[in-house]
Amino acid sequence: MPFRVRLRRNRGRWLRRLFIAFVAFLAVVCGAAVVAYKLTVIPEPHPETVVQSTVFVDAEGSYLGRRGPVDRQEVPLSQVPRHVQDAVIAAENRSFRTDTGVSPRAIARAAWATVSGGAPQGGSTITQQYVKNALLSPERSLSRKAREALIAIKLDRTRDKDEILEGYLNTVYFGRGAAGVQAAARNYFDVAAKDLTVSQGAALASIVNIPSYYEKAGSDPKVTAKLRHRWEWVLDAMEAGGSITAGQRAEARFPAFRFYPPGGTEGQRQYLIDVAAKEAADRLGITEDQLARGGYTVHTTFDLALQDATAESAKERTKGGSGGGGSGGKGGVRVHTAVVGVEPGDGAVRVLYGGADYARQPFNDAVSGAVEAGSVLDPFAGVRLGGPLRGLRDVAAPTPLRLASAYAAVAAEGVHATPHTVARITREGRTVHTARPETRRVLDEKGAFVVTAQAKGPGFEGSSEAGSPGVDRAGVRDGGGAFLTAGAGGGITRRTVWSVGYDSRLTLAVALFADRPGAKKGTTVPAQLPNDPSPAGSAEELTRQIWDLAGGS
Amino acid sequence: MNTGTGIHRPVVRVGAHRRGTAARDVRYLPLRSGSASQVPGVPSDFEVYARDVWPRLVATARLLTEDRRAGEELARRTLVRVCARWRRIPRNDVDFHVRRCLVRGHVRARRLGGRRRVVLVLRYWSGLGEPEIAQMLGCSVGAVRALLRRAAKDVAPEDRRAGFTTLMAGFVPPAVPLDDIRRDGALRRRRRAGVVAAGCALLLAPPAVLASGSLTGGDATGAAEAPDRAVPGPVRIVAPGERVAAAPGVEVWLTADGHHWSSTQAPTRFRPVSDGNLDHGRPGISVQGEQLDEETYFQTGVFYGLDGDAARIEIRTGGRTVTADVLTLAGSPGWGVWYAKTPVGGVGGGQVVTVYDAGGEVLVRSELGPAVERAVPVGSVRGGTAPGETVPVGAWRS
Repeated sequence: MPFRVRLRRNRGRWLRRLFIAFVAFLAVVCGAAVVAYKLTVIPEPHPETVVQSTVFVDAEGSYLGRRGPVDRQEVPLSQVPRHVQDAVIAAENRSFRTDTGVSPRAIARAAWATVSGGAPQGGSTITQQYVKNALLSPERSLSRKAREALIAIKLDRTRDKDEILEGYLNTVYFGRGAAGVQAAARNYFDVAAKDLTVSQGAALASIVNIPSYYEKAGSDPKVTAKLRHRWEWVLDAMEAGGSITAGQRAEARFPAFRFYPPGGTEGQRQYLIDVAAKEAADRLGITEDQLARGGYTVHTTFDLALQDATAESAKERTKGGSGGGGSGGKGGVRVHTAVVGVEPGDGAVRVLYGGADYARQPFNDAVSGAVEAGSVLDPFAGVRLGGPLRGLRDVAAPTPLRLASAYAAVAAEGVHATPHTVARITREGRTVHTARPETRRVLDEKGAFVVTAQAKGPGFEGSSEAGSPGVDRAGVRDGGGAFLTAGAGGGITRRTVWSVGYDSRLTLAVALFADRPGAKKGTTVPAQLPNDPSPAGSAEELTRQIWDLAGGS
Repeated sequence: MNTGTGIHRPVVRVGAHRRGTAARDVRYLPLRSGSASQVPGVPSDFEVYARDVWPRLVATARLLTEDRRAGEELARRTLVRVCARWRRIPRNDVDFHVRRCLVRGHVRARRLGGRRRVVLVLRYWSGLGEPEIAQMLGCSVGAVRALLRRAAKDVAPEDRRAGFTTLMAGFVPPAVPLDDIRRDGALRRRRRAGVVAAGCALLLAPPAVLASGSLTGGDATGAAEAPDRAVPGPVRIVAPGERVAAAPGVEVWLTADGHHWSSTQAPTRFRPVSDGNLDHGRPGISVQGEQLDEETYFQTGVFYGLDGDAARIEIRTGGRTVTADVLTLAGSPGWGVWYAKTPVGGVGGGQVVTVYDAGGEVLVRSELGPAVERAVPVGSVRGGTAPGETVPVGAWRS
């Protein structure tokens, strides 16, 4: 019998065998998939993605700086505007709200786009991306891909969509070193995530696609044009999906960006962060390292605008004083300026200037610098000091912060408040610590009155060259406040100058002192203040300026 | 797939090529478009074949079913099936396929025990070999052999053969119900065509819908319309205190209370915006400047009180237009800062600074004398704005 005929006669049998084999194969595959699914455990987020940075903001909420290894802060989904969520869904995974964690259609479309040479598209759902970014280690292989899909399905079946979206928005990389929507909003628009507009949200959603490319948005016209193109597309998709109205779509304007890398800031802020971080860690009972990784937002008491202005004024003054850079002068004498502004009765530190540049001098003169008191404590003569101020008169060289708090107690009619720089600490939208003023009466009202009277008395009216800064200040003269200038040494042998101003609203202490390189390398010894211009006048002028900037009476 | 009347088997293929050396003695004409009977008097090859095979078919069916009427019915049905798919039956193996059709029909009719009878009849009546029987039943040769061996234990093969002959002695095959077969065959063919078509449609419909859906989805991902608005100038959001290197040696920065800038000629200048000396109810723009070198001036200023967000600021000076860089704090504070480097040559004529919004509408325009001719006092201190440093500008609503 010819082979062909035999083959044809047996075709049915062969087909049947083939079919059975195929069904068996299918059954094995399905069984394996079911078993694999059952055996799959949703892994814990891997350590790198749990780390957050701690952000410091000033009293107004302006960004001061951050601490921590990665720029990421978690926010609850309730603090991400709905239109930002919708924009990310429209840009990355439109069927997110309804799919099962993987989208065969998206995978098919991505495969088709790759094969047909269209624009490359990702076939991953938001769930898959979240699993990939946050739960698995960043290796690339086919088995990992399969595991990723399994975990995505399991995650989708066991968790709420909102929960997944929250995790995704808090971990996805947006470029500029920023992971998560909160850090991204700050890096791109200098706002918190909850303040993002529709346009800004759509722009962030567009960036997720190729963050390392789009991170130059704003400064690079080509990148900006491309991002704008994608931004339009995302908005169109949002309109088509009903997330925004046609009116909102028509009104949307391409937003302006911060540039990357950003411009430098005054070398000042690190001092503030140092002080606030130490205090915040103390308050929470954790180490500074734990604080840096914990994702806290530390609301400090500083007034950033005032602080910047103070730094500006102090810099100018130092330049004018010692002839450039603050390091000139005779024999390498360097003039130091320390400024502390404290709110009487509350202890909130508004201004803290302890050095011109953190990179050159990380030591904070205002907090830890001991400045010879000289006559500045003389107004306290004859009054009994209690509590934290006990023994103040015996200290030869108090820190500017301590002195400021002492005069703040006088301004608050004898009630001493421990100076603090942290007002509130929040984490993921919840307040975990609120500072309460630690107040204690240290001298009676009569004592406070005596101190003020003595401060207003002769001897503290400032140097003869510059008129007393307080002379024309009626409020200070009549009320419980005073301006005084004092210090150690006199005439051309001035070693330190203190200029203190206080009323019931603000106590300001400015200390001027100088040092020069010591005999050994890396050491310094105190030096006399340069005489031109007059240090006392300089200190008074500085106090006056800051007082004015603070809206003083 | 297509069992309808549309596709014809080519004559050459059926007649010569397919058959080759294995061709049987009987040569059948190719079926022509399934309706050869339309030509009366000329029998189609199916009719020829049907007449030829009918007696043998009925006899075998009679033996299989062990009943005369049932056998006849089985044979008729078999021919109906064959007729329906006549064109697809290979011409060099017609007998096998027709016989297999018969066997299958029988086995289908009586589920159990049918196969044993089939094997016996085919072996001892039709005289087929074991491999052929196996092929017919779609089982292995071993299975056929085992059946035969077991059957041989009961009755010897010779007795079986003799029994069949006795049973069929005097058997007269009835007439071929050809018209009947033809009609049912055609009906069956049509019905099958319909079923196949419906099946195909069912199978293909979902992917087609999916594909068209994803295609339209793909269209949505396509190009957005080309931006028809005016190209915005560079607007940059800055954090409070963030230093922007505006020109060599010149830094500009913003704080919540105003506009700062420093250059090599003067350390820091400050233009407050929040101290009440600016009327934020009316659009306005200010200009300050200083000469950087022989060829360029640096100009900067504050704009405030606008109706919309500034997207582009242009300085028209001496016949040339320069686009300024714009700095603003986050969150639309209602004011911003611009800066630009302008050529020295243009200072002679008046200069115009214009602020446009994203739609290209003029938000505010200032016309000034040459700003840089007013001397900028060097070393003016922060906080005390020296007279002449900032030029108040009369502003016009567009």
